[in-house]
Amino acid sequence: MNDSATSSSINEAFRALVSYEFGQSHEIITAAEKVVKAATSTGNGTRDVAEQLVWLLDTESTFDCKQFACKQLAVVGGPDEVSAIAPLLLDAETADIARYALEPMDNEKAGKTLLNALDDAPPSARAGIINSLGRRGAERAVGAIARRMDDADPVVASAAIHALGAIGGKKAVKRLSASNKSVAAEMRRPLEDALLLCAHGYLGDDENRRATEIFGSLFEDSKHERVQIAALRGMLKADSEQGWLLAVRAVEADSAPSLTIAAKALLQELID
Amino acid sequence: MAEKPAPEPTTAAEPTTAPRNITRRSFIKSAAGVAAGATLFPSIVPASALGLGGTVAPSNRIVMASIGLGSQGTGNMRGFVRNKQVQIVALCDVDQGNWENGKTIVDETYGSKDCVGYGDFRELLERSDLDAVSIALPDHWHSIPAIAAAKKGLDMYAEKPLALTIPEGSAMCDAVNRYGVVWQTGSWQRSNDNFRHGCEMVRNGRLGAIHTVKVGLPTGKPSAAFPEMPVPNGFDYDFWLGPAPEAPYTAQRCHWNFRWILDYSGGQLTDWAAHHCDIANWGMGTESTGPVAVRGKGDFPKEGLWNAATQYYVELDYAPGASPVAPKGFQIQIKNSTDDWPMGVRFEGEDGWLHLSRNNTYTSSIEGLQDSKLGLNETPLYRSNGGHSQNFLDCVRTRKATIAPIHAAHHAINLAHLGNISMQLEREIKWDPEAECFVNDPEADRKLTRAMRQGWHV
Repeated sequence: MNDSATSSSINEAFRALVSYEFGQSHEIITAAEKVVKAATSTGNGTRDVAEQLVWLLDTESTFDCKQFACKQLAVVGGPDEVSAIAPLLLDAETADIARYALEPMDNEKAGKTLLNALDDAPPSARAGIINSLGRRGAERAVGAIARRMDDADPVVASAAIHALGAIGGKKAVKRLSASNKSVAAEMRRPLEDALLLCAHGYLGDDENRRATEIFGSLFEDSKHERVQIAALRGMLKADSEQGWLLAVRAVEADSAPSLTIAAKALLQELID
Repeated sequence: MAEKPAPEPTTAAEPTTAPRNITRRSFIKSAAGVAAGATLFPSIVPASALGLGGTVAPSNRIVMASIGLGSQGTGNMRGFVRNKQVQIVALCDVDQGNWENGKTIVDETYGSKDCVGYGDFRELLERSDLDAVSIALPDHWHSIPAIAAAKKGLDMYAEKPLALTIPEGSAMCDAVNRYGVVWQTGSWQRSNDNFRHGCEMVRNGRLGAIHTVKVGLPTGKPSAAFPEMPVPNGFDYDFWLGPAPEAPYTAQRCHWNFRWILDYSGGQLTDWAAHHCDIANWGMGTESTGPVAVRGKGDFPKEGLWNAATQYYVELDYAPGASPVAPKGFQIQIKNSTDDWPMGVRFEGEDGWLHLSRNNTYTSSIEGLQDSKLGLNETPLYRSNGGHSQNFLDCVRTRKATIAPIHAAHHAINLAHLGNISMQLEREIKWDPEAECFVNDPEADRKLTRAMRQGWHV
């Protein structure tokens, strides 16, 4: 399957992509993919290929061509290519394909570029950028993302809350907890889901105690029985004695039926 | 269950009068003293709600909705709507024609017009009367609605393959476990006696130590390069794309054929690995782990819209001890089927081989294996009584695990995802099955995930 590509064949395959649009022969795409695969299969030439892909972004290429280049840069791109991708983030039409390249990149420059674009990007691109920062676990972005929790656009606000949950850690928990009372009513549930995510992030490490605090707080304060059930389940993992007590309390008290059923099932599971 | 079951009457063993500072240890001790050998809670739901007499009061029916009403989703929905323990109240599909067809089936079955159609699953999930949902969507749409439904506390019968990517599958597993909902994957081969018996034989060492498991799956096919077309009326194509990259509409991209395109699925490899690799893992007892090295070779179409591998061969190495019946380690080999590599799963051990496939195919080098019964000291596998979907409904009531739990689906489809990544990189990849990442291979790690289009996240 592997044919070693020469430098000249790389140029030829990529040049053919510049005017590529859906509906044309797919062979143009497969020829270019072959060049990238030849580099990834051996580990040789990925830098050269990445430079060629950046050239596709710089030219007056079609959207389909740029999308192809970004998907490949997601695998072979490095810090040197980030600057060429960055302008695409600021254009509503190309912001998504820029994220296809930047989100999985394991270099700091990609994260900084996403963070820097958050304020300058068109509003329609912000939720996506926030999601990418969340997927990357970008702790340095916590402050900037937290400021979007009360964004007028519910898609952005929801993305911000979820991203903080995905990032987790002390700073994210602090910002989420601080907003628990002030956040818009429709964002209360997503915020509790994000806190659950954070608590699960603490499980199994030296900060299990923090998980216990979050689960306990959500169990006591949440108005959503599904969150209470999840908190109870989490508590049983974080601290089985405390979880046991909460489950017994849920059965004893006049809890919502679903919470009672879940607590009984968990107790039965423990006994079995 | 139009109304959630009321809390059960208390029993002598229930902790309703337990002191607040009671510990788990002392409670178990006390409960054991009162009712040794008995369950603490007689059942989670009154037995009258189980519908054993064939009649189920409307208030005790499991209220369900179906999300995704293509051919598979409609087939699943037909099974549920015929079941007297179920009341289907809502349907959802981005193609209005699909949910309208489904509504006709439901309305004719119930003799009413009560079932409601939706184009957006988020609106459907806002209903407060649902107990469970059946989900059958293109792979790129598996994770988002499933996680949303888990957050709503809804139990799920959902189609394979579990997810488009390994991280999405992992997020689904986490959500199902976090919210404690019942999950059944549509990997129905587990509910077939033939497959279960064969897996029991393997798991109990009847073939000796296993060294190789050969999995045969269908061969794919290429397509033409189709032109852009006008989006049909009633089809919300942008919603259909959802988290996937923007792409012009053409009919051969959508509905059944999504599975041949890598933006939405993984070809025959993912479509069928979800069945046969699931059986391989079931027999080997590797439903919670994975391989440590993967080598894949694939032929990808050079022309046309469909770009998933049509022919493929993947080797997956398992470490010694990963399987209870492979102390020296073993290898799963996945290949598109041929005359000498038939469809199904072939377990090869030191004492013999066994080949399992659909249509009750059960062939073995060991005479009489198919008629062999488990000994008293041997371990039986989970048996679903009454069929695959009935097992789901039973578990909705009992809150027990189903025969096809989500972690099993995750580890089955991971084999295909890893194979696809190795094929695309055209080299061997080393995998850490615990951490679910590649070993010192950032290039491969980047292939694990895909950024979602604006507005969607898991």
